[in-house]
Amino acid sequence: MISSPFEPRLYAGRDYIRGVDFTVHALTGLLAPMPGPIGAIDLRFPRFTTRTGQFERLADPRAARDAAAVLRATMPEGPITFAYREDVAQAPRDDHDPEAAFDGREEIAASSARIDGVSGTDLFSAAIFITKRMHQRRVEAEGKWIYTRLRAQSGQTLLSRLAMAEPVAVAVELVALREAASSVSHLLVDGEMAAEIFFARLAA
Amino acid sequence: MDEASLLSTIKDLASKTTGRSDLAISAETDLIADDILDSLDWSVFLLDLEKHFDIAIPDDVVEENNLQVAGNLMRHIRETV
Repeated sequence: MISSPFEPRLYAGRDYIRGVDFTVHALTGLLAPMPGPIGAIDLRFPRFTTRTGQFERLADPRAARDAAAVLRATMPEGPITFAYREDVAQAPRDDHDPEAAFDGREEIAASSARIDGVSGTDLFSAAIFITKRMHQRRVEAEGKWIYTRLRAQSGQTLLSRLAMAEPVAVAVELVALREAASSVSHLLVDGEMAAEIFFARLAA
Repeated sequence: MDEASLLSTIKDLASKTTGRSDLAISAETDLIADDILDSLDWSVFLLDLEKHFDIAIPDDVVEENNLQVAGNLMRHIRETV
């Protein structure tokens, strides 16, 4: 079993651990230390959690079924699965809102959104922030849009994007919307497709 | 589109959704009750299916026609495409 030093936090105004933090940790904490190249990755958040915990590498992928976050990745030695195992403690609260830094910098259209000058691990905070804004604009239905999944052909490409110091342009394009309740958007970094982002709407 | 080809497409999309290549799916398989897809998988699977066939599958149609059963889903796709 491999465990990780992930330290989840609950941010002001939210009552669950952010998927963005899981994403950055999955890429930089779990996958980056492994021998590459890292192929396709699929990170899902089947349910909310407010609890501390750690990712564990599973011998049997079926054991991930009840986890709050599940990462699957294609590695040279074959597919691997990590699942987030919660303990009983509540994650500590943090008044800092990492998405607030992007408020007002976004350009939002009906089915796309972009934000410039983003670097490093801020990339995912910016991407999720503008995807939420785009959904709020595009789908006039009450409720809250949440990030549920990230899927990419190359984890290696995402890792290299996170490691870049120079600011990049982050854009999202809505490519499929189902029943104003779930959607898939493409994440583009400097115009290049980097991943698919899945959102779901929680009814009001 | 014949049944074998449709079933193969459903299996490919379910494999893409779950990240598993060992899925045993037949026309009788209930994709949720038989533990192929959970509710989040199902939502992503339907999105992929709608994109692949360029169709819309409303939730009430899913419920009325029990489309989580692969055979019912294949019939619906054949009638819609």
